[in-house]
Amino acid sequence: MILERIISSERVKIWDTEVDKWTAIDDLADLMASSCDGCNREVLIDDTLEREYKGSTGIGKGIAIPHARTTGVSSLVGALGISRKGIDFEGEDGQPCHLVFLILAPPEESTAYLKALSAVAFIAKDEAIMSRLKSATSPEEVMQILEQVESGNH
Amino acid sequence: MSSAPFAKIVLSVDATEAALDAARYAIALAKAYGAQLHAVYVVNERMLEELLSAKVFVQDEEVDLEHDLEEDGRRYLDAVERLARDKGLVITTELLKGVVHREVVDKATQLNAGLIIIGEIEEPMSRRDVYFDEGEMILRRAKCPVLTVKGEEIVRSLYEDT
Repeated sequence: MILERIISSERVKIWDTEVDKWTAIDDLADLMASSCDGCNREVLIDDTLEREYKGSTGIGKGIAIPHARTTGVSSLVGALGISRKGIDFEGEDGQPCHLVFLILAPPEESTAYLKALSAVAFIAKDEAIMSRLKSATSPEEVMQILEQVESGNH
Repeated sequence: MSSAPFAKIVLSVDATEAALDAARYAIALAKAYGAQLHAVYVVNERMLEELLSAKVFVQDEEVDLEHDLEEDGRRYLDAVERLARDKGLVITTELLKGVVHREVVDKATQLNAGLIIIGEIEEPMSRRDVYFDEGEMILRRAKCPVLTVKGEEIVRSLYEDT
């Protein structure tokens, strides 16, 4: 399944203290850079921020999906951040954001990128799943939840 | 040349290797039975619109991605056309936009096609796919027989022998 394939336990971050949206994106970019072959941290963060400046990727209900097509990655990759305190992602509903999915793809992988974003947006509608992810205490637990969610066994 | 219950075949192409294998099989079948082959690629506008309305995309981002998906489509349709030409078969191609399964089924109906060919339906890639896999939707909604192409080696060998 696509989310468990692109997000690995090394790319899950849990923030127990307060962080702002820029720090959150920065932290997730760090995880990408340290765990993906062929990642260029500077390029991927520039492209992610450029997209964020065009409009918040906070989609409401405590979820944000920062994303970009960028030459800073060599394949479709994702990272997930969980904030205990909530982050002001400047989304339309003004609610603090607890789950941040960073999704990046090389410019030529348009179809896979579209499918990955669509998959995240789809599960983001399920409040029960989001609540489980929000309460997860470790990257391994997050991966178990994603696996169960995507296989329909949740 | 044997007679076949189809004079026209619609081939559904997406940006995957499986679609190119489906194309190889469709070409072999069209040649063997003297059928006309029409290949279509559908830009998945529904997914784009969903992401726009969910506020994942901003407008210019949706436009950019749609443009790139069109280019992908043209590239894959060109590849299918080349595969056909290499076997001496002239085919028609068309780039459409909309809901993928609806456009493919409508096109087959419009052309009075006797067969739709699609690539292998893989395991769902996401929970969304479980509900909205376009290949499965074509199987359910088509008004004519649908053939899903599996078995890369068999298909490539059949194409080579065509």
